[in-house]
Amino acid sequence: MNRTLILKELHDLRYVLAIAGVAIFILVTSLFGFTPTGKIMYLLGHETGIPQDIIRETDIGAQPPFAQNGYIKPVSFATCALALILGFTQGLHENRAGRWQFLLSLPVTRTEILHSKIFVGLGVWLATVFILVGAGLLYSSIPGRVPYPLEWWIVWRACQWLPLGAVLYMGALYCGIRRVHWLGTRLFPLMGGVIIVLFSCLIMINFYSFLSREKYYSNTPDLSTGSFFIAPLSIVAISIFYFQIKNQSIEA
Amino acid sequence: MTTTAPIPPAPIPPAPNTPAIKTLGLWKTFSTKPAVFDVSLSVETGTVYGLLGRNGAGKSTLVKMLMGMIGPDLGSSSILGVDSQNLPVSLKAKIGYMAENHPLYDHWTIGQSIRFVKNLHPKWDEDLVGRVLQHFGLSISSKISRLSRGQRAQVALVLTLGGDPDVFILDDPTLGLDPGVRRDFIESLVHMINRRGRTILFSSHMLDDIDRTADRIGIMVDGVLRVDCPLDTFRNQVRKVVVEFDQDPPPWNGCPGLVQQWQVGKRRDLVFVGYGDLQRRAVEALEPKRIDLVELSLEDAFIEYTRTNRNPLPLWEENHE
Repeated sequence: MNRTLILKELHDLRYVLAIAGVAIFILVTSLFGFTPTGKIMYLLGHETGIPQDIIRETDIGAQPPFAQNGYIKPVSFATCALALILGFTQGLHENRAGRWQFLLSLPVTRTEILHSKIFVGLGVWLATVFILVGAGLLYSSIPGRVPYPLEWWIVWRACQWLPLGAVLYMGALYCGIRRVHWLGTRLFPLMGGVIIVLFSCLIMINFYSFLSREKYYSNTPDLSTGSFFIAPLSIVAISIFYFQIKNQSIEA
Repeated sequence: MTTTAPIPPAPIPPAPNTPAIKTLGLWKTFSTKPAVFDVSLSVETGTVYGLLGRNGAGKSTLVKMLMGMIGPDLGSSSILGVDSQNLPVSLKAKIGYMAENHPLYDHWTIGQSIRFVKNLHPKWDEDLVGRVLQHFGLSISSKISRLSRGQRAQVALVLTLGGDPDVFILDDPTLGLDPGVRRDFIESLVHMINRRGRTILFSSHMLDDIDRTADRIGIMVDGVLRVDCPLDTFRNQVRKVVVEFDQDPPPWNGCPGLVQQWQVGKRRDLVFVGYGDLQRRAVEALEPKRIDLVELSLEDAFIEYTRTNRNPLPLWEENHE
């Protein structure tokens, strides 16, 4: 792995890193109750007349983190969005003003350039996922915070969505790197990623996407069949995207 | 137990008398649009080769194929004896490439750009870079996005020179620069890189740029390398003949050496490579009112030679008669 290229990628992603930092800050502080989301939601409900039951459902600070409508739900969406932003930023960045020509003329190989991008992109995404899930685990480990001791099957069940972010990242990176002239063609590979995500969502919805509170409180291990599709499906999709990107000549 | 780092493969030294740059029957088509047709050229070590052509003639595509940035549909190319499509990193370090429009990272400073390129090169001439920066009056703290086009070109040249390459491939380096800046830039470039043993392939659509630097020129017209000869040969061989008639010029299929012809009212302009007795007799056989042999400057010779519009030019005055 080329250190100079990795530092360059990190430098190019500085704004995305800032966005990820802000997202982490908001989610974690909401989880720990430092952000008065409950108060805001209460006032919003008071002003708009939305029933307080619904308000409580949407307040992530009021739910167990790894249960339905808990902290893990916005984390899943936020990490998928981050993956898309990372992939597009890294892919499109070099397409601007012929920068591929500059990069490819330097004494580095195409594979080194691609690996540096993927290493940094997936690394940032994974780090964000680990920080956010880690914060959830930390919160859950504090006595009195959650109504039931945290079991690993609960974490596994709650985090089964997360690998889909990596599929979206690779799809977005491929979209950015491809040499195309119109938007439809550029976005075409992402359709593969989106189809996989939708397919996974269907499986998840079928088997209850997030762990319901009833099952959470009943302490009956619930590893739905759908859970076991997501990880292998994501690995296959990521591999396909990787070889597509590798075989795609980065034409300057 | 000790472990040893893998030894990188040694660069393949070019065989004696191997041309520094060579292409053999290169073809490239973009979807249905042909860009380069069967281009074979050879640039000897130590030569300054000017690759000329109008915009869209296929120069940049040829240069990108040479650099291994795009693959040819047919044919092959090599730099320092190594296939362009498989250039090892050690050999890429010996090639200085300047892309047209000088792509750089706008959010970086000049200093950051230099550090980035320097860290990727096995050897870096810090002293030379410092002197060139001083010559151009560039500050390393200046942001790339705030530079003028001319200054961007200068930064691109600094980055190209720093690795002390043996082969320079410069793709229209003066594109977009105003005439004064262009002249200064070319003079600096020639002064800095034209040392003994360095091979330079310099593409441009401005003959002026080539005139002061090239030993040999190639001219591309519509993707075809139509000329590949020493500069003086081209200068001495291209002639324009203006033939006037009393009425509309008769149709003419041409003769050997005729490269362009077009009609302007009752006049026919002919461009020849090598205008000798054979060509003169062929023109006289048309029984024109008058034949003028026009001396062409190098710039005019290039323009006349690469003119691709063969349709008759309208003569507006006649429309009002």
